[in-house]
Amino acid sequence: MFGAGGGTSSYREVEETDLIVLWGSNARETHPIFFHHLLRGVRNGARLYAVDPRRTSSAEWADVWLGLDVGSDIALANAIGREIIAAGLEDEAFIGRATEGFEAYRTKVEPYTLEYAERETGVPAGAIRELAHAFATADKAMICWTLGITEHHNAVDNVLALIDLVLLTGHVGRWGSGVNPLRGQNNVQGGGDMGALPDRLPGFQHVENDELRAKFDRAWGVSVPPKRGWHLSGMFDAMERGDLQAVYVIGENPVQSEADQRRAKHLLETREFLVVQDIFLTATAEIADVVLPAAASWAESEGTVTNSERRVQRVRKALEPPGEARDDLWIIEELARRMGAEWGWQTAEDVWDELRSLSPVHAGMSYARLEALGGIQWPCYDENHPGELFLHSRLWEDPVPGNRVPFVPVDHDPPVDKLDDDYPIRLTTGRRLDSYNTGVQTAGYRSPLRRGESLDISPEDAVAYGLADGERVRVVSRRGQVEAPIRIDESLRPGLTFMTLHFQDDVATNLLTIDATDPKSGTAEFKATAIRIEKLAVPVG
Amino acid sequence: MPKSYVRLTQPLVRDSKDAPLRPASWDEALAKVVAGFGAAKAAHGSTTFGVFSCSKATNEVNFAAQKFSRVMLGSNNIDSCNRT
Repeated sequence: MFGAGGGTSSYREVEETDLIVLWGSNARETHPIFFHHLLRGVRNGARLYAVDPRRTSSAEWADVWLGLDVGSDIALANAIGREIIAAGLEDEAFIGRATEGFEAYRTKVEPYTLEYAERETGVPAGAIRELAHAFATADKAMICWTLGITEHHNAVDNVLALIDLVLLTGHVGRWGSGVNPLRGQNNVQGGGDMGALPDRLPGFQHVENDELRAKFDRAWGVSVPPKRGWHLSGMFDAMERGDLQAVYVIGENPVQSEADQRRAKHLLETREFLVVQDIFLTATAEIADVVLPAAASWAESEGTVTNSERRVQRVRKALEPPGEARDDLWIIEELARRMGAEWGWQTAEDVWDELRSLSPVHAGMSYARLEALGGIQWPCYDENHPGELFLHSRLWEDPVPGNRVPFVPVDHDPPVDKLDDDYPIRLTTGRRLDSYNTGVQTAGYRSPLRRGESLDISPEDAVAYGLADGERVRVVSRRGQVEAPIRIDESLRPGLTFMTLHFQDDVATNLLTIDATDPKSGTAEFKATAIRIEKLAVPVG
Repeated sequence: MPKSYVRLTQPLVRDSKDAPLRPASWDEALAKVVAGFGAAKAAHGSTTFGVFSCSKATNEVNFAAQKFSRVMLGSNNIDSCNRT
């Protein structure tokens, strides 16, 4: 909606804002660096609201925790929007000047009364009302979100519902106000920025824009395919149809990280040709036809990475890779050379300078300037440009240059994996502070915090099901089953359980999850699985 | 106990789908990759390729990966571990 895919605000702004909504984010454990900035904000007087089905360690810091049912975020957001309008607290001047489509939004949210939302989300009407009023009347306010709302079949709609709230209240385009998706992997922002996306060339330039694509055609001496490709989930669907047979995996472990793991593994191991380039022999590498040993990007490579505040920073090589492992850049360029192309890169800086020549938003970020300034936030159009602290300030000019930002009204749509008598319990999955994703990189390090996988369950459910803390049970979904010990967790409400993805070799949680994906974003509904719990039969001696 | 991973220090190849992975030289491994990509393109065309790039790798590696996908494989089917 805004034109470029990045958080609008700098980390520093969260220290100076008046109100923070942490929506579907357990930043205390999953984005600890950003959370330090957020705590400074709280210490400086900002009010913190945490919207999360679990009363997480992040929520413990909040002034108010709104414990909504899994997958009811749009019901809550629309109710907040309706209440803001009903109380006459919307920013009429901003709406009139900078947006379009307000009437359709007002009509859409009209049925989302506080009473309806309380029933649908489980959040008390009074708490919804309080957040609505506080958010609208705050001078500066920020909404920060992450996978809690995007690991759903309607991920894009969840995000749009939140963007609609900042458009309603004018909390964007100004210092201390904005929307901030907190990116997880250290360079997931950069991956997209560099065009490792099916529909974008480097610098967000759309591959289906003929004029922009022609620039790359001229630079590279080829015809870049003019139609967008498939994202990851689309690629798995194409594998299922037999339309995708050759896969090159660089530093990812989809056999363990994909929802409905059994399906992902089966599809990858039945490809005609699979190449895996990685630093460890992951479960994905184990089924490859060729495995290429690579350097660890954070210690054994030169280059740059981009964080959640759009800041590009230098990373420096400190060690040689072990044995015959080689830098990813060398591997890719050498493959290209053997296939007939000479790209002429001597250093990582050569690659970066080529990128700068093709991406206007990175053009001014030479290595020299990145090093002198300690990083630069895109967009940075030339060598005199300092980079931009926050985005969309044009929305506060009068008249607003460029396009108005549209309201996109969306409907509440509950999770796909339905609860019923056979699968009566909601399982949501996520991460913990001490481990990282599928555990490949963190399993080699000890941590006093790490305690292995468990099915975390509310005290009420433990009593109702006759389960003891530590008791091993079978967890069953429509797609598979695993065994894990019970752990009683007071932060969970009855009917809600929690597991992580960190111990896939022991407890393959993704055997349970559903790959119901948002067709637009390709994100699967990891956050909402339907399960039942079975006691294990006591062995007869 | 979770498996404690050991760094990969040499290329590995499989002589057939039933054979186990065995160590190989870079020359042999890269030649096999080029041959495999070539066979796939000849049999199915460029849309048969998919590249999964890495969200822990540098910007430069991601730029190189998408350039490789688009210029050498002729495919826009590239993504960067950003859906989970």
